[in-house]
Amino acid sequence: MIQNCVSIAGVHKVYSTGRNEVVALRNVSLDIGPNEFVCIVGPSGCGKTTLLNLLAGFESPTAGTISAFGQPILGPGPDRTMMFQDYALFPWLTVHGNIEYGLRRRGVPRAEREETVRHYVELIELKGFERKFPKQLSGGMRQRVALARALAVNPKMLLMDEPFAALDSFTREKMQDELIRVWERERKAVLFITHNIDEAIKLADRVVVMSPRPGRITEIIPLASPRPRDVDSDENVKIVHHVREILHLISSNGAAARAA
Amino acid sequence: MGAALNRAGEPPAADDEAPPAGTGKGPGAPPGPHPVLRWGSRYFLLALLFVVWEGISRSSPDMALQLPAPTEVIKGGIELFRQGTLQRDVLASLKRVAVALVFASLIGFPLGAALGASRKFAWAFEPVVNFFRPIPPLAWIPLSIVWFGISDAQNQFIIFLAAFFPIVLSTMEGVRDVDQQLVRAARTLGAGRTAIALTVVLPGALPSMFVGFRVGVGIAWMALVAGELVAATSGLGFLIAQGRMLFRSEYIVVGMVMIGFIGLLLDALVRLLQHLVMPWRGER
Repeated sequence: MIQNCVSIAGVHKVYSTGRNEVVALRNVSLDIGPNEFVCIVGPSGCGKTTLLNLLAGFESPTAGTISAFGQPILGPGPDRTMMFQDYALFPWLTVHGNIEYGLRRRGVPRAEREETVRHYVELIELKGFERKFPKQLSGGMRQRVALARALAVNPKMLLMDEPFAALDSFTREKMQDELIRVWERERKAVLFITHNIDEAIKLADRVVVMSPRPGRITEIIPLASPRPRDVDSDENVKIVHHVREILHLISSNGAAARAA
Repeated sequence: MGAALNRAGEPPAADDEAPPAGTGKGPGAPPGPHPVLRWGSRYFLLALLFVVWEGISRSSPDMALQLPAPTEVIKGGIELFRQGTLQRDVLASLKRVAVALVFASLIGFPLGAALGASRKFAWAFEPVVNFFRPIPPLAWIPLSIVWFGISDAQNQFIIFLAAFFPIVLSTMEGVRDVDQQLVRAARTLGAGRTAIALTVVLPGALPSMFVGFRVGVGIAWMALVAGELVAATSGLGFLIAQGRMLFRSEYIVVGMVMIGFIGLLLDALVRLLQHLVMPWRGER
């Protein structure tokens, strides 16, 4: 039996602003395996980002337990690195400096750092750009640097918050292929948030569908077919339709609930 | 989403967008037939001004005192330089500004950083800052003379006040406006509190800190002259005051021109420093 990488059990998250209480997550439970690629899809307000922030350790749950690698999550840590939609690269550091950042914080010796940086620069195919600042790169290149930076500390898990949403569709598809290529080589658990159903089906081992008010998991769909996946294959089209139906149901239910 | 969509619009790889190459010409150089002609037409009015000024000044002895001719000003400058007073006054002024800026930086940057970093501290301390801030530094001159007498310390105090508030306020804003997403990114990569302060908040706030410093230097230089005019025994302001007492109006203008010139130089120096410290901001 493979030990779970992340285990979320009965998690509630309530935000109180003055007298108002917003239930961001209600009774969410999810286990993620060590090398598993999980995508979360859902409309805005379904709590997917909250869930990611809990896993990253930026916030703590109101109730329930959440643990990573057998330890309760008490704060952010380099065993779970996060990638952000707006890249969040340090503008004052070069590509080299950005990738190296986490290694420096851990006090990795210089020679080893150089070795790791070289490895990841090659992996993301940005050789020759090591001394460039983020401002001098295109969006796709920036996101590749962010990926390399997140991988360089050798985390057991990657948390990705709609990392490709700001990219144009051509670059996004390239990045998806690249992510899969890197993931197959580095083998880590990935929790990937997206609102793009095609993207989820292309990438995931399991697609988790969430719904809002209160944020909860509606359905978990395992995907068995091997990668690279053709989103237009009959089987996958069916799944896309299925997810769309769930999401439609959610939004019409929401509308009905609000109308009532 | 949507806001950042076009950021990825550029073709990947190949050539990253080079920083827009400046024309190398002065601001807004209009298209002209020949560079020499263009240059000539640009500075023609200034040259004409000098000529007219010279003419008016030479029209009567009375005018010569009211408005010393440019040639007289140059002569006066050379005279003061030969006597050694010009260098002495420039150095005295620069030294005052330097001392005052060191103190304003040593207190202003940490205080601003603390105000920006801690909401509680800012809440308690901001009324104090806001009480003193609207009082112009020059209004402190009489009281500071009572405290320090006519001395370097008095002048430095005025200059200090002038530079202090821009530095504090800009640093506070810079620290407050540091991109929280970058702080989060640093935390997931294993950065602790000290590392975040040094590797994220400091470089993130640096541009704003420089703005405060630049504004502070500018105001400090102006306050210096005012302070020296009123109470000093050396410096460029003192030179101007002396020129008035001695009826040597060309000394007054020498002082004015030097003040403007050094002010310009100081600003260029700060900008150069800014570029050296923050290469990632690119050319400007």
